[in-house]
Amino acid sequence: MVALQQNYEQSSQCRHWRFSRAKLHEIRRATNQSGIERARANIAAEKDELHQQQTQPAPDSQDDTAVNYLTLEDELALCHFYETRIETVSKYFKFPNQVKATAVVFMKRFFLYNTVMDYPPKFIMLTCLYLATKTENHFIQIEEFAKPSTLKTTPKDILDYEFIVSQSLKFEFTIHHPYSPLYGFFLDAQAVVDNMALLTQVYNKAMEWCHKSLFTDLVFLYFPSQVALAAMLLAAQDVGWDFDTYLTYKFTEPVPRQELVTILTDIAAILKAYQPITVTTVRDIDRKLIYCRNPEKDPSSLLYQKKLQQAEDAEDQRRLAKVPAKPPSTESESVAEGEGGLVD
Amino acid sequence: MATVDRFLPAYSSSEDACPICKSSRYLNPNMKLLVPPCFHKMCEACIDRIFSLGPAPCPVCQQILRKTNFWTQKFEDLQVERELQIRKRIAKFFNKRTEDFKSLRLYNDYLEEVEELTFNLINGVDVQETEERIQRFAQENRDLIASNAARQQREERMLNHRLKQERSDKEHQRQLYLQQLEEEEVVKRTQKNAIINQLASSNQSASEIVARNAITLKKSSMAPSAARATPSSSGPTGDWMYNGAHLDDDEDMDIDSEEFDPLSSLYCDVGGFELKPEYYDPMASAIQNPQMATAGGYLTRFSHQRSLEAAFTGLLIPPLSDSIPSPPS
Repeated sequence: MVALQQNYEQSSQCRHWRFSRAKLHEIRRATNQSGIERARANIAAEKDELHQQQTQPAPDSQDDTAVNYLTLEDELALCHFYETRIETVSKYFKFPNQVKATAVVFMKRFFLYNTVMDYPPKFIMLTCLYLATKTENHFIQIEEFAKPSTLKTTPKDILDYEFIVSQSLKFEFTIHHPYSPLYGFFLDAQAVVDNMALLTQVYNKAMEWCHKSLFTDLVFLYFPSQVALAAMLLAAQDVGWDFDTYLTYKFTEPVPRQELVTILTDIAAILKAYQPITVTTVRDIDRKLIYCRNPEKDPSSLLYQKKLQQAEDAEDQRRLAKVPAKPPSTESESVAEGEGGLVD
Repeated sequence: MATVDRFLPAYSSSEDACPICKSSRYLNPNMKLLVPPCFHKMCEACIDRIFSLGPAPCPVCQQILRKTNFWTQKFEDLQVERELQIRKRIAKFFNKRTEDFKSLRLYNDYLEEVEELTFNLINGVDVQETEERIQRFAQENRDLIASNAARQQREERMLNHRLKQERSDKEHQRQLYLQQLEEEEVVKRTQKNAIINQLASSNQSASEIVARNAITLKKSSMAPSAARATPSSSGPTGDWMYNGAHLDDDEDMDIDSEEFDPLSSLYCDVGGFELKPEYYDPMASAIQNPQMATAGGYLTRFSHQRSLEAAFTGLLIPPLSDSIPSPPS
């Protein structure tokens, strides 16, 4: 008999989306590396294409060395910027916290295995938000959502990416956020706190920390309950509430308490170190991205159009092959063969 | 094989044409192309013309054919048709069953051999030798083949019988239903007439009579439907059960039940907290209409429990670390 697990440990978030720090970094590095290689190969192909069309000799002198590819840090910064944009967009649509948080986690998960050089983060951001409205039961119609007047997008932009994003999320849409555990701690702390006004203040402050935790890697590293408690710890420091009273009340044994405190301080350090990104840095990265985008996925590129053409041709071929259901020769052949090994 | 014969419709296409008289499906939509043992198909008119006076050579390959040996084409590809014929013929001799062998291994070997013979015949490999092997087998196992053939026939008869039974049951039910409808119609009409008579003859007030009769009408329309339910359900199922007794469907269900493991998805309760009856809960008190919320069985206790469980889930589980050891506190 195996030791029983808690319900959360059987969730997809815990089984598939929980990593160690080293592993997380490794995945991101590999994604970035393969993204650069793909982009490099395709940019070269695009150049060839261009030269073929213009019938000019290809000047090999300033080839791909000139292109400045995005580093891992650039990518993370860009993703981070668009994650914060989710907040702005959901404020416009008046989405609840849950939707916003889910969208952010979707985006994090997507760009864990994909790179911004392949997929434009703006559309991915909107697609994640649209998917999040669906998963969190806050449905909005796509025509309403992707109005060209407000978001400068069309429904097609979002729907095109919807399946790709879902696929990268491995179709695992349920996200466990620290909000619900935080409320649990708010309720549980009432055992030691009589001053409800103070506790509410702590709770509200901790809520802000939970928001901040969305933009860090905590969702991949720690349990939501741990993040919530760490947010509570920070909030207690801010407001001036004696957090240790609660902790010692809950965990009378010193050993598990000490372990928990270690975890909490780790999380708190990450939360405190969080810095929102500045627009100027993002602008620089964005300018860099223009030159190193993978042309295979860029609808305005020649390579993309060539691919599209090829796909259409293949489709036509397939359809043509289907039309003459049976050429007349097959029948006479089979009859002729039938003469050979006959049955009585 | 028999099932293929029974359930597969004959093959026909709009481009069919008789190779002998060149008449096509376009000119003669009712044309039927039949296939002889030498696989040179021809239309029914040609068959009548050539073979009505007894055996005659095929116009294409000169093999002697008889009118009775033609069959309807089931598959577009004549190769498939030919394979089917060969398999039919092989199955006539090689009709042993699992029960006739001591072990499954022997049975599988036997099946392998049969398949090899079939393959040889279909692809024309060592035809002479293969034919001899088949003849030898038929000679050696004459009794078993005969008894198995008889058994197969019996089973097929049983199947036919059951199909027929099912069909007649369905027909019977339909008849019953139609009868029911008719009866209801008659009853309704007589009752209506009765009301009209009553209205004409009695000196009670009209509304009273109508109201009284409305109740009886309703009652009578319900009665027959109850009566109908009983006989039709018991009749056919009983018969069917007896006929299908040798079909052991339970075997499949056993296999299914083995694959399901109820212990695979167990989880333990979350501990570490104590659910109190009362909390200061601004979220729950924000619910607009508590009566509406509690009508479906909702209690604020549930949401408290959920939040607390979420709070204490895995609180003490350290983060994953594979290469970097966590610093000691």
